[in-house]
Amino acid sequence: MIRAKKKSNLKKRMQKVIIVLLIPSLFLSFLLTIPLGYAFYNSLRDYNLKFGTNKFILFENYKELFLDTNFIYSIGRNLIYTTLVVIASFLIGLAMALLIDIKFKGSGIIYGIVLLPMLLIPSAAGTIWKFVYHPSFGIINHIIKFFGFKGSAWLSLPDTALFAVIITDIWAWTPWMFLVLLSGLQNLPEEPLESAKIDGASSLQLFRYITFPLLKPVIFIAITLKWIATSKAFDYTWVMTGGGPGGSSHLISTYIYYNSFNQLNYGYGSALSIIGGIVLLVTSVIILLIFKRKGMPL
Amino acid sequence: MIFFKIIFKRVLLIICIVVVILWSLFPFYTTFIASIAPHGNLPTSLFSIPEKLTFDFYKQVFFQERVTVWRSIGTSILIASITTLVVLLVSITSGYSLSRWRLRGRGIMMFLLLLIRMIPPIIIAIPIFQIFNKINLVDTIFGVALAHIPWCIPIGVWLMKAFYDTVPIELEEAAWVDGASIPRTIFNIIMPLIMPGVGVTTAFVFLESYNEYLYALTLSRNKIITVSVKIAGYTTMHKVDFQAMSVSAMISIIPMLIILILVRKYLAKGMTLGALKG
Repeated sequence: MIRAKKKSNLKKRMQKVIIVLLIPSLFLSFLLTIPLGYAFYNSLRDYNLKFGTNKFILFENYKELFLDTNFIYSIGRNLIYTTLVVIASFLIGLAMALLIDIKFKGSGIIYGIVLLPMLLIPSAAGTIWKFVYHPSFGIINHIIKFFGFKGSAWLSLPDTALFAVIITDIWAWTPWMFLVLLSGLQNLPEEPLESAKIDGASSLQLFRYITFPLLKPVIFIAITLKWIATSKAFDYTWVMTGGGPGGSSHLISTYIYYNSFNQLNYGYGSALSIIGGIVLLVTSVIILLIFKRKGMPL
Repeated sequence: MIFFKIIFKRVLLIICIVVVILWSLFPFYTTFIASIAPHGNLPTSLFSIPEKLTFDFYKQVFFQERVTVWRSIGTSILIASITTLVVLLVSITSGYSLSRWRLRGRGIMMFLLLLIRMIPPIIIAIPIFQIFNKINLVDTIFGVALAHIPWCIPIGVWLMKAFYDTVPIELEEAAWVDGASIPRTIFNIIMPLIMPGVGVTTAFVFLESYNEYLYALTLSRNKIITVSVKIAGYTTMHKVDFQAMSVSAMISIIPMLIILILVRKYLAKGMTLGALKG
């Protein structure tokens, strides 16, 4: 009796403690709303450091933004970029994970080598790849010339710049996918695989009917988190092309940065931020909800 | 026939391994060659190796530049340490609440934290710069750290929650019944059990801050330069110095390498906000 009472009393006190302990993180997260409000305030102004203007113009910036084809294109590019990077790094990562999961001699060393790209700071990976793509000193052109073809200035042509950056992002993020998927593979239950093997399933059937369905929750988590991270992409593009040539590789984040800090157009940059932020937030939430409905445990 | 099948499988495996190794390593290979090639003698074909080796670029990057690579790594480490300390304090407490909260609203709290991760940091870069400019935080270590903190909280809290979840609540209940107070339960009983979790959270928040480029670029001008900004700064409109960049990029790996080796057992868990077992 007394014990039970003591316990329920403690439970009540516990609720209080729980709420008190939440306050610091709520407070610090809530700090983000101050700059967000400030951004909205800026977006209603003609605020340009270059021309020294600073006055209230209501929604003029927003009107301009919806007619700005560069911005509309950068949204489309952002979508293409994210989709390609997520799908490619997932497929390559899965292939690598399945390879290492065979556990051949020396797979430990290969495991370490596969993870190496992850060690680079994103901006460093971008700079290194800028060198890799260099028309005369870059190894990509050396390889192409070795096989007898003509090289190209990958980052300075509008047709290839975006895809060159996409390949860099894939290279740098595949280890992450690999790691998550491999860990998922290694945590799978043994029994279904064993019994299917005894029943004489081929390795392709094993993957199709046993491994893949069991791995689905992990795949969903990996793709969702990768989507969220990639949709905000800034580092690689900014370092490698700066959105160029001629704005042909701008993503949402780089286009905002370019307008805000290169053109010093704080008002317009803020309007872009608000709309771009909403676009990215909505797409990420949609992806999250789709996978959540399919049974993602996140 | 079976013999050929085995051979075929072996060859296929070896080809796969070679492709994987080449794909992962070739940028490192050129980076390394560039770092030891004499000034302006970058290779111009696939297998050309510089005739002479120099360590001039190592000397330049280590000692001669205005902001040496050591100093910028130090700056980054300081920023990451401040960020980690604050985020850790907050996530140890809030992670506990979210793990033990059996009321409605927990799901929403977790979702809100995830929502912060979906917001692209760029959208408040201007206001942050304006506000920090007013209160003299631009170009200070503390300023960059302050800008990193809110973005790192979701990882910290999600991770710590995942680790608290592995500790059964019966343990605490037993302690309360025996008369232990709530703070004592947390410090004496729970904390020792989740020390690995604290370590992993430390590592991942640290890496997040160490890798960050956008705010470091916006908020550091000339007094402080983080590694991420320093390395990208070697290739600008005005000058391109791939060789010194190569040295810096390779050196910048060291802190990452140390941390990843320390938490290698928990890498996948840490990278999925703790959603994975292991």
